[in-house]
Amino acid sequence: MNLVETILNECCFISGGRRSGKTNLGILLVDQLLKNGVQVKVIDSSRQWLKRSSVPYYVKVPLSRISRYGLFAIWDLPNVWNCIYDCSRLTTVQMREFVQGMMQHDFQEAVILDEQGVRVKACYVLEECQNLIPNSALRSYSFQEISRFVTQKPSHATWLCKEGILA
Amino acid sequence: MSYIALTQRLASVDSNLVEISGLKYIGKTEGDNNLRKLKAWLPKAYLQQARDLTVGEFFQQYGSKITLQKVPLFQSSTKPQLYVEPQKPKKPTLIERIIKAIKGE
Repeated sequence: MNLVETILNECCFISGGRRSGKTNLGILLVDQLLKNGVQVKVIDSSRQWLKRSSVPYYVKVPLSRISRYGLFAIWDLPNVWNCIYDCSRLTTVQMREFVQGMMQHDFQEAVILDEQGVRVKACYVLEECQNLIPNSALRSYSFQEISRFVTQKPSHATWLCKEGILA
Repeated sequence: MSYIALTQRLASVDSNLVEISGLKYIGKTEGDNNLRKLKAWLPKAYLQQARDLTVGEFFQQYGSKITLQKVPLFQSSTKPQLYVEPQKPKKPTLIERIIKAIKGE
């Protein structure tokens, strides 16, 4: 099994109790992805990634910059790949809004690149994903962008692989 | 585009997310709710073992294949740096442009 290709095409889920080493495993997998030229965005609310990972950059997501006026009217932060977004200051609701906005933007960019025949080798890391995608979230209207990203994009990539369009 | 989702509360995560993910890693699992949910993803024989896994031990599930993986502690030689946006070169002001013109530059 090619780990990087498997994660890119089929996605990865890590579960484990406290002090089970799941963040360490995540950091290790991300290191492998980075070494293979995959672009990574880490949504980190635990701040563990800032201390130990090999992701080159991080951005602090401040409270004040999040828009309160609409779901997708988001922040004026740089949209950078290979970066950790430190969301530890945000409330859970704000974090969801932030991630939804970012996923919507990246999804649209990926579709445009896809049309041009460019394969997007990118991966989101969702630390403490029970806050971002809790029970029944993917059926909820307020999680529609996360839902689209999670359910549609991987299958789209898999379809392209099956059709031999992706290398 | 892809994702890696991490959680310590398997019982609180949308089941669809777990189902969609082709590659699963299951570490030490505690709590009745989490173990109940785990029953859906792991065969019975592995459930007891999942309780007793130590730090860094994970069941890797890919399709129907389940293997025990021992993950070493990751040591990075570098640390993430605060991202600073590259600054655009400043446009010369009107006065600067006038001075430049006078000097004939």
